[in-house]
Amino acid sequence: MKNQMPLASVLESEILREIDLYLEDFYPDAVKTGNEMFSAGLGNAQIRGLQTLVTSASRFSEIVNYIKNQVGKDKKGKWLRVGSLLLEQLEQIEKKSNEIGGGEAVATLEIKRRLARGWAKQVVAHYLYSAVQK
Amino acid sequence: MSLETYFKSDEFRLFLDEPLHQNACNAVEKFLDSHEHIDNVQLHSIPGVIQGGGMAGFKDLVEKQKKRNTKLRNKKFWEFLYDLVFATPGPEHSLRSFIAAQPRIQNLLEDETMASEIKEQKRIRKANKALVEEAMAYILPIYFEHFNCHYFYMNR
Repeated sequence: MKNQMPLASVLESEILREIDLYLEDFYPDAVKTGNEMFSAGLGNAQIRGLQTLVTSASRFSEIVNYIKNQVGKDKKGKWLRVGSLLLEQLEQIEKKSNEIGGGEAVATLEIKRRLARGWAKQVVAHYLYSAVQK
Repeated sequence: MSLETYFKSDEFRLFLDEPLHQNACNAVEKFLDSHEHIDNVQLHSIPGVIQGGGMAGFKDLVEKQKKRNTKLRNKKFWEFLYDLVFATPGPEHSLRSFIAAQPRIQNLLEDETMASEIKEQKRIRKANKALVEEAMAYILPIYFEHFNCHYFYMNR
């Protein structure tokens, strides 16, 4: 932990603001995903599993690969129903991270990490909300 | 920048996350476009073999699987993997060609045309090959994480 750069010094406040604004704009899409995940019949454990993975992943592509793997091995078709939606949203997040990061590797990696975590929080919150509504 | 320093850089982490991921996905799609699909189980041993035996272990696995008296579509898959990773110079979409074409790797390769003696040219060629293979060995586990997951997704 001693060698880690403090987060505040990695990203400028302007970039942190851009991340927040993007997540605000993304909110309706995350709501849709949370609802779809509930409708697809994914259980609490699977949703929490995705959130834990997003939080602990050291690479953004680990999240993408996790979803592809879940879709590939799912015989009940639950992940299949939401897989392409999740992957499309992650692709948008990656594209936006590169845009905000402006070609700086360290910033882009940190932006991807923050956006992915923010996205997962929104998706899980709406999944849980959908579950209570039904 | 040395290869070791590059491996520790954020630039390399981003390379693993984006261009390498894209390259592995493209390789899967290239295979699926021109070959009969194989069962996912064919791919299951790959990560463990790479983790335990590195490049050499993986080469053994690919060669053994190529020679096995099994379904033709499985043989074609292992032949595809051989070309993808071990053939020299290898097809355009191969991992070797892709890594050798990366600007950071290019900067580390010596220019053999600068040497006048054949002996020196051979030495440079050998050193360049060793450098690309060192990079490949380092990258291989993550390359096949991308490759396998994309295959499972596309083969659903």
